[in-house]
Amino acid sequence: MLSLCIFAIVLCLVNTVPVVVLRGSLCQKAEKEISTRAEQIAAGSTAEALDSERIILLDNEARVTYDSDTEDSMVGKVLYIPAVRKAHSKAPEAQAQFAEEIMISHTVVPRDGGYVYIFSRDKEAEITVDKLKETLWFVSLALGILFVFAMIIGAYHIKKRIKVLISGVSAREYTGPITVSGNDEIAELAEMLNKLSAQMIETEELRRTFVSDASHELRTPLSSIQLLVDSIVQTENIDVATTKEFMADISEQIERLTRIAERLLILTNLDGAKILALEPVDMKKVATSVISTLEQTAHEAKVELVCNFAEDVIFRGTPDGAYQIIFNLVENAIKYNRPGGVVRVYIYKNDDECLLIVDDNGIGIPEEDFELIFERFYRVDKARSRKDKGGNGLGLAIVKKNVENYNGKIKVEPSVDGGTRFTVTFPQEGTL
Amino acid sequence: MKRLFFAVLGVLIFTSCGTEESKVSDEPQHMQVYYLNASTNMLLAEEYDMPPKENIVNLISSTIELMMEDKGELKSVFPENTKLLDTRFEQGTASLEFSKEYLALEGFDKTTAECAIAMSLANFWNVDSIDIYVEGKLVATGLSNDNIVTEMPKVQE
Repeated sequence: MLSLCIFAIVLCLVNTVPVVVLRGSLCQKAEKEISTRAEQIAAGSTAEALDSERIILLDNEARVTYDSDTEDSMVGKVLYIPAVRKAHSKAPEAQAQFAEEIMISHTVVPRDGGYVYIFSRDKEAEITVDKLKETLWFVSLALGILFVFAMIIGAYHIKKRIKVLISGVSAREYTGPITVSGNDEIAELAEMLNKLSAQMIETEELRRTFVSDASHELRTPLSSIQLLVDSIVQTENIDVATTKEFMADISEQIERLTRIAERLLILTNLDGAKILALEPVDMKKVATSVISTLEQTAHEAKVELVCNFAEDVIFRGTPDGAYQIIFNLVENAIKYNRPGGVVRVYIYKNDDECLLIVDDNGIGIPEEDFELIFERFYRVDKARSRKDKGGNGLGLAIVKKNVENYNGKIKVEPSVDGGTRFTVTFPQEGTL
Repeated sequence: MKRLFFAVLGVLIFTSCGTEESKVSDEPQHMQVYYLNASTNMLLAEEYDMPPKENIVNLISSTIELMMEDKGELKSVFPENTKLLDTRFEQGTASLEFSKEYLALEGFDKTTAECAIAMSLANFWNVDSIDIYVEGKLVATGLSNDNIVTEMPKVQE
């Protein structure tokens, strides 16, 4: 549509500008010619009118003394027109213009004892203009045909490229990125579609991994339960003590299943939470509650808990989320430690941030795993974790998701004592 | 416009009488009086209403008296201090007698003044021609609007 408008404007300009310019130049030429002719007549060389010319001689009071048109003679009349006034004021002026397709020109110049008026019609000028108009019409026609061809070719080209896009998008299976040449909007669209496809493939890959890992995690305790139940069923005359022992093991596996299910539920909820209703949360209060819960676990693991909580460390979040963050970090620090180890939990604030540091001198995490530990079901040492510590690789994923939801950041680094140090920062909230 | 009407009426009361009395119209006469346009030095008309049932001689005199005064941007075609000494109307010819200042006009300026007089008096249908005297001496005769060409003469097709 825009190109059609531009083409129409170009056609208008092509058909008008040259005509206007030609007419202007013809008028200028005619003005010069009629001035020269009038000067010659004023000098007395001739007073004979040519074809399409009228010569009138005036006395100094603008009274007509001679008129070359004998049929409509003005002799004796007064010619009171501005051109005579200009000639009288010693500023004679020649004027030429196109009137009804014919170029007319006239001038008045002073002469001895009066003025000379001369008027001329020029039909040839319009013929010249007509020829130009005809040429321009042919040029316009040629341009029009070229434009139509260009539009058809352009439309075909665009259609072809869009077809490539459509076939790329509608393919049942991903067959690689869509290739569209050029540097225009269609190429941009192809690039965006390729990016979108790549994201979708990545998401799909993550989903598959997650489902596979989740199934694996759920299957392990279920297999154990199956094995224990089979043992009870298949053993003849099984004594009560053995049955109790087996049942205790089954109960442990059920607890494990429950924990996995709970955590998966938490993660699903965190993923789906579009807008969280955030509120000011006092970190010390939450951390104190976490520590009181984990004190027994630490005692059993022979790990010392060293806490230092500053007052009024407030950030925007939810109490449940804050609890999950602190609980998981401290629990991991206790679990993956050695007897006699120390876990330090610090809460304090600087100018505009709230900080939570959980530092241990436990078994540590290899630095190459730092990037991966927040992924779901990832474990540094799978055999060890599952068997001894009851971990399921979801705790740190929950921590990270919560931290992100509260506009915070989490950093992991080796501790000076050989363990691991997690630092969580949140933007500081004024007061409760 | 009302003020002008009374000004014209005032002029009429004090102007001289002609030799021939003839009534013109029962309605106020709408007419054009010509002045010099200061920017182009050409004539330009100004509209007036003349009183009805007035003597033609008085009407001619009033018209000439109006022409003698500048009107805003429009200038009088007459030289300064020119006076209309007498007005007569006889057999379609208006005779105007001016003071000697009129003689300062010459060339195209004289033509301009004569055209202005002829075109202004052309409002009165019974004025066929105009003669101009200066202190008793005839300086122009047979002036008429019909003899003035204001459009560019062309070649007959």
